[in-house]
Amino acid sequence: MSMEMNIEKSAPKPSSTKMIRNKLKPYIPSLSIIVLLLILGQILSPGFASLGNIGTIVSISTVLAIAAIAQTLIIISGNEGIDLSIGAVMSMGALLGAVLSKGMNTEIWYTVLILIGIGIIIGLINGIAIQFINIPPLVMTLGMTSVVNGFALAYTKGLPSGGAPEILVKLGIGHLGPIRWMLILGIVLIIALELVLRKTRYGKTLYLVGSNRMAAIISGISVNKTVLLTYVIASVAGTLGGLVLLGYVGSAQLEMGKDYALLSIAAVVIGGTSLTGGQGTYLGSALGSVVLVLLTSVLVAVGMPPGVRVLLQGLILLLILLIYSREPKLRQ
Amino acid sequence: MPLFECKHISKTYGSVVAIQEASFSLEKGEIRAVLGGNGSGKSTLAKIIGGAVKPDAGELYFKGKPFEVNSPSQAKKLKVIITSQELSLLTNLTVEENLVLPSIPRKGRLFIDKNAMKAKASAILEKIGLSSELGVLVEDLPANKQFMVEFAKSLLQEPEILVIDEITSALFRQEVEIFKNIVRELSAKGCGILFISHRMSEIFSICDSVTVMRNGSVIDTFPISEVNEDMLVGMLTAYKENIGGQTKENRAIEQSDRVLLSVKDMTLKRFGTRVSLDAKQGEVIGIAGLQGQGQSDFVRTLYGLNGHVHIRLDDKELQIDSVHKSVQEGLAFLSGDREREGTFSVRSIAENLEAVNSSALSRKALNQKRLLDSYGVKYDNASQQIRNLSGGNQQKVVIARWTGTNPKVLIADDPTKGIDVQARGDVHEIFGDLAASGSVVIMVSSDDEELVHLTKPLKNSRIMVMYDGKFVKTLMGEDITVHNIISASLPREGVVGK
Repeated sequence: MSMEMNIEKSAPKPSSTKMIRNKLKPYIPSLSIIVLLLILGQILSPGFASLGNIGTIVSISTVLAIAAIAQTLIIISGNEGIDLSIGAVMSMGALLGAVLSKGMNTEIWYTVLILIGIGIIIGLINGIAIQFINIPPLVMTLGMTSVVNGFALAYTKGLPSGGAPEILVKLGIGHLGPIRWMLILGIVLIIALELVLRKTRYGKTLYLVGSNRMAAIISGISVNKTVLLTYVIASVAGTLGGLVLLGYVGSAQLEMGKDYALLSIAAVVIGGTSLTGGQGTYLGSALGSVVLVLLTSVLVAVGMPPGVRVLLQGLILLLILLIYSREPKLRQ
Repeated sequence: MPLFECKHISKTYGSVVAIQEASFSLEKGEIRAVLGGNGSGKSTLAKIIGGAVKPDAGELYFKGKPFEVNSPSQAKKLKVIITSQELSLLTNLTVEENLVLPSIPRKGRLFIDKNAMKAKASAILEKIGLSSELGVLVEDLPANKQFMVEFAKSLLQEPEILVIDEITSALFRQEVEIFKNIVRELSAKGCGILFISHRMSEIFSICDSVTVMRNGSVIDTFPISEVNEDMLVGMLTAYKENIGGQTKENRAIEQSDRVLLSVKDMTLKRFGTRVSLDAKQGEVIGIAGLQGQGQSDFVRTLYGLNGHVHIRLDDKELQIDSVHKSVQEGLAFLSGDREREGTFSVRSIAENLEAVNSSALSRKALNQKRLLDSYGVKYDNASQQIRNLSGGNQQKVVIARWTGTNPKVLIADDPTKGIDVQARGDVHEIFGDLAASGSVVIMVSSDDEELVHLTKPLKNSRIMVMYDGKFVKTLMGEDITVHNIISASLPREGVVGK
């Protein structure tokens, strides 16, 4: 927060100050909530805002933010796009990661390649069904959830073997000097995704396709290609995100990523991406991920019994979504 | 006392006057034709009588009493029924279900009496020659039979006034005969009939009288025996040709005989017709006709929106199998439906400008400022959302999106719909400049005056008139007048059925 204010003060021309303020405006609610939750957590449970705890929160946020890559791109692509299968795909990525690598560093590249391949296949099936057979994204990705879960169960026979290779564990909980690798990963992802969305032809086209499919077709844009690519990127983010999850947790369990499907949607909405498509940023989704993880942490830190916590969490989530999905209308 | 009377009714939509001070009356048992070109106000008149549209001013009387209805269902209760080309059928129900829908026969209070329903429907189906279609879903019927079912549905409601809006255009010859007989029968029972049509032969064979409308006004009403086809066309088109006077000489490039675009026997699916067109470099071609005669179908098919087409462009034989391919080959398409087919409303002006150039064609960025300034687009900065601009400025941005890529052929489908006069003139100028630089411009418009305005000042221009999915007339030079367009739009040789 203090940094933005410095920028504003030192900005040479009033017009550029205004521009920067406009650019930051969408993130101010998330940033404020993050600060408030940190203060609240610290008051209710001293030590909450310690570096160690913040590191943990950042790490889990990064995992959620990976799921939010899929969700952000697909929601921006419009046409009621949504990816309910992302949680299942991540779970499968973690499970297969453990099984294929047999917990050994030496198998990691082979495992990554296979998981990328599986991600491409899942994304293509989702994309083709949605784009060419006109199955609504909600229905298709919900169906895909069952298929992926079933596949993971059948492949591992319900007994995940192997484990997390050391290199993944290092990524998940290790540090580079004083900084967690997961924080570095998160920042790299934010920069990469923002560059993809703003600077590449794919990103620019994605916003147009999401804003108005028919106008995109008439403009000669290959809408099918763009949408297919989006679903493929989403599923690959899912399978590789599963590896990161595996590294953070240290071992694989069935359906360990299932919560990320709905949480990632919430993170995207909090991040200011419109559910009607054509608008949104990845930075917003990443901040939204932090908000959600912080919220859970505060409730845990207060020592609330699990049932009440989940209930409260749900209610707060509903409230946040209610406010956020109304905001654009109020602004107009 | 007339059965139905309109006194000085007016209706405007925004700044567009649909009906102005229209007055006429209809007697019991009278069959009245209402004749008019595009935008003459005849359909608005039908909607007002049917209760779907409320007039801004004026009075309506039915059987001597004020006729005040706020909805079509209220009009129906008074036995004032409209049947139109906009079908009111539910396509997932059977023919008889649709027929009895306004009042479903019941057993007890809850259950549908299927036998009573069939009995009620079969009598009327026999009358219209569709007995064999009992139990068939409407969606499985061909268009002409759907229109007959629509017509039958209106008959079942025992109309005292029946407004028939352009329903015969989809019918086959023998169906038209059945239709005519039923209309005569209704008239014998005292029902007043308003028959909105542009088919002269039908008007002359069944109507007692004809009301001519033009530009939202009722010109006059005549007994049918006192007029002939030529007189009617003359009245429809009696028009002050005050446009096109300021011919800009030598505006176009030197007469070029090089054919830039050529299509041969391209099929228009909806009509089952084949059309051909050769367009020379630098030519501006206006496509005219009554609404829905295939103008849009033609340009959309040509652009590859309706599937695979074969064209010859710039001496190359091309198989167009997607819009992407059309755009790559130098075709451009400008739709009048900006909201749905033009703008990316939540994206910036800059992104809207680059949509074709960088997203579809992967070319280097345009000089945006120069483009926007040259078209006089009024904007703060190019990063604001395009939806903040006025309609005319939005459309100029969409045009600039295309002209910035130097298209060989610009196709425009009613591109000035809903934009102000000033912007409209600007658009015409842009089209003229584009043609002068060697491109072909093909523009569809439902506004005949606009087409004259666009093409008349240009040397290399013509207007092609469509009817029923075919080009029926080409107008060039001095022949380009609103009168000639309207005259060619109306079929006069008794083209009935198919």
